[in-house]
Amino acid sequence: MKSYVELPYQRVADSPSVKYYTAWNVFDEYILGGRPAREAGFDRELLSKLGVKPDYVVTPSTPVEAPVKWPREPDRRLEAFHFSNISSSIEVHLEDSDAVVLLEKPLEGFHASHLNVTASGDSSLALLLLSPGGSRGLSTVSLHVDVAPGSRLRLTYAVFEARGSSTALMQALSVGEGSAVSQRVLLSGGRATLSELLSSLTGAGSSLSEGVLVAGLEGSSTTVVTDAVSSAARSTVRISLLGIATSGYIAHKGVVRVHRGASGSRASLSSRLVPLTQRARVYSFPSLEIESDDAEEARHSASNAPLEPERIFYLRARGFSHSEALRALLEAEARRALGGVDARGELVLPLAEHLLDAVTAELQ
Amino acid sequence: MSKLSLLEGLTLDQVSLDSVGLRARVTLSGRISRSLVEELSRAKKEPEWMLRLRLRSLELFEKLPMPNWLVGIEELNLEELAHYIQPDVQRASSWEELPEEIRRAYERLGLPEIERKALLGLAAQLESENVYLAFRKFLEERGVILMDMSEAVARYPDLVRRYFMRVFPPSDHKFAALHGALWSGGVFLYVPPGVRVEAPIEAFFLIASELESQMEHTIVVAGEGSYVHFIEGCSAPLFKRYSFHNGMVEIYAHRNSHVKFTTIQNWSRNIVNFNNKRALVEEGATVEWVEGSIGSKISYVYPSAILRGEGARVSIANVTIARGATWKDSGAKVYHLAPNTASEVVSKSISAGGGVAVYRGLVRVARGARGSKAAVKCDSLILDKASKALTYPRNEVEEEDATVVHEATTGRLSEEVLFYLRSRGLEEREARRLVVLGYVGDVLGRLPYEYRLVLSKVLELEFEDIGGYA
Repeated sequence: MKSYVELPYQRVADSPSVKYYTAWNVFDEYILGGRPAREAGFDRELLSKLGVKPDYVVTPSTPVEAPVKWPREPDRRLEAFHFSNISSSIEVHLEDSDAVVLLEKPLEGFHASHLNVTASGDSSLALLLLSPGGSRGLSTVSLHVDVAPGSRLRLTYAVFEARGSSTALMQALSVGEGSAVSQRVLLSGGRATLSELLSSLTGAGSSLSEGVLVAGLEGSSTTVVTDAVSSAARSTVRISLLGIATSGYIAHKGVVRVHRGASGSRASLSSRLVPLTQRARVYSFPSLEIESDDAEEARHSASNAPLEPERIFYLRARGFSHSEALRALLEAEARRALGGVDARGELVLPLAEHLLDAVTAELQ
Repeated sequence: MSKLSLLEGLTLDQVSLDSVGLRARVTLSGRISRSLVEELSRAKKEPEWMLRLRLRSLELFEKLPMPNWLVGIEELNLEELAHYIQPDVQRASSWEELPEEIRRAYERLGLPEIERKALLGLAAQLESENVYLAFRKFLEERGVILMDMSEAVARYPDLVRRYFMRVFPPSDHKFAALHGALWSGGVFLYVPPGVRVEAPIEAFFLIASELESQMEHTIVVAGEGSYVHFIEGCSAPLFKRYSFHNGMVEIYAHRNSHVKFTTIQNWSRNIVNFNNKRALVEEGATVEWVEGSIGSKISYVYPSAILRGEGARVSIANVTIARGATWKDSGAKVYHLAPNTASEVVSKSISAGGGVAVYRGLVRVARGARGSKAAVKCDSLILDKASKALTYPRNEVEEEDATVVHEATTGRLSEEVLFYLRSRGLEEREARRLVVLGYVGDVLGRLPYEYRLVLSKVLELEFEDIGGYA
């Protein structure tokens, strides 16, 4: 592998006009001059509010317990930096079971960790990264998730950053024949947050439903990459993202690729970015790459627009205050993006509420 | 012979300078150097400022990097091309004045007929220069200028200098710089304030040699409150080797003016086509780009608009056909820089026989463009397993009350729709024809009637032999 400092931030083909859609300069501070973290912590108040007990806690002192699996050679600076500096790795086997993994946030410096996840039967995994206030560290996390044929997996990732902290979350998900993965990702705040969710539907009849909710709070910069590759027949991909920017920056970049041979497959990618104040900036780049007429249907949509004033007016006419109306509309949009939450996805609701609380608090 | 029946043949195999018994008066080819640029400028008897612009562009061309995201241009070797071919023909303002062989070639393309029926002005470029240019007297009397670009540079230097490569500077990218260094031909159209040119004006470009680069430069200036519709047609016979087209169109739509710009690009299957198109749209003005991209082997075309004045509007409609081993990269770019500006982009592509159709677009709402609205819709139709459709739209928004919506679909011919049509008594072939024409219908509807017929017919012919209508 090349030295990571020599590698580009992003692949040039991503962006013909060399548009840097991520705050790479923030990550560079750690890459060029950062030190491994010594101390780490998490937001205890939020964890107790969520009422969950972690089955695994990954801290900077967690050793490398599992081999690092990753489907490709890292070819970008941050990715290569992460894989060159992994100091913690764990193995999570899910077989008709549920697990909660808590990642502790470095207070200073960086911590690179890796998870190998294998899932079969009807299982769920929640990954929580709840930064304590005042944290200024960088977490880089990679997850290699392998879903066995005929399984159901619910994935929930929550990254709630402090103002000065940063995170890079990288996922490589492989979905086997007849399997269904339902994924919910919630991201809030942070100096720089990068979430790269790469999914590969390799088994016939497999499906992925991915809902992402992002809060772009003051001074934050969040980039979400949602790439899905469908190479098997009758596979279904549905990706939906809602980004609410109060005065931060949100970028959504997503590609849906349907390869030749994926006959009867369906794919949809939607991106809804809501700038709420004049200081908000949003950027979307949803793409489709369809390689033959095998795909039954492929579509994407992107909308960068404020909440409709007519709807706010309607709710205010029914007695809601402005902030209540705003909150109600954002909640409705969030539920739509998250694609409804089933009975066993009870963790998603309080996480979404916490995220929306942060948005409305900042607006007030 | 009518234009329709001509297009049925789609053969222009006899239209080369050799075949019409003509020689080039001047040919400049080989390495792109300072001496070549100076010689070109000398051959065109250009003023000093234009030579300086060319040389500055050449410097930029040498400095700027080759865009590394371009696909399929390995064949393009700029050193082996003839960059300037001046045919040994005096420019004519009536068809009778042209040598018979050339006149016959244009008659086969239906130009005199369509000029009589539908146009107020027509310029026809062969190789690097216009060989025919005519427009109605009454427009001239109202102050409309329709002129060969080189002639305009000489006769109206102050006016041309105000606009030449201002909205599309040579520094934009390597091929814009190349264009700035080597441009030749094209027209300058100036419509004075308040004048409405009710019927279209057309410029037709013909490449008649292999290993040629054609780089015409067209400027349309619409004065305050004026209206004009400009149509651009392109054609070339099929050669053994490729040719290269690197044209540029600049539109300046002043306050409350309205400009329509329609392109029917039907280059032969071995043309590498780059086209640089940009409009500057002032307060209350409207620009409509309509792009029918039928021919060429490789094409990179993104009509764009800079909405600089409050209430400026742009509409961009593309139909792209990628049939056979072709890479058709098209799209649209809109920059909203002023409040309450609006844009609409509709793109339809059809890929067949292994063709790749790409939509690449950008909508940027800059700070200050409050209340702006943008809607982008791009649809791709794939007719077989070997073909591809790629969609890369980008939206950048810096104003919280701007609305940008984008929607894209990729699909195949719907079995249900075909079944429905067949159950109503239509044959499979007719059902497919209806579905494909219906698919591109909203873009075809933006063309003048005569051109709509032509484009429909071309589409039918394009897909007849590969099963699109089978």
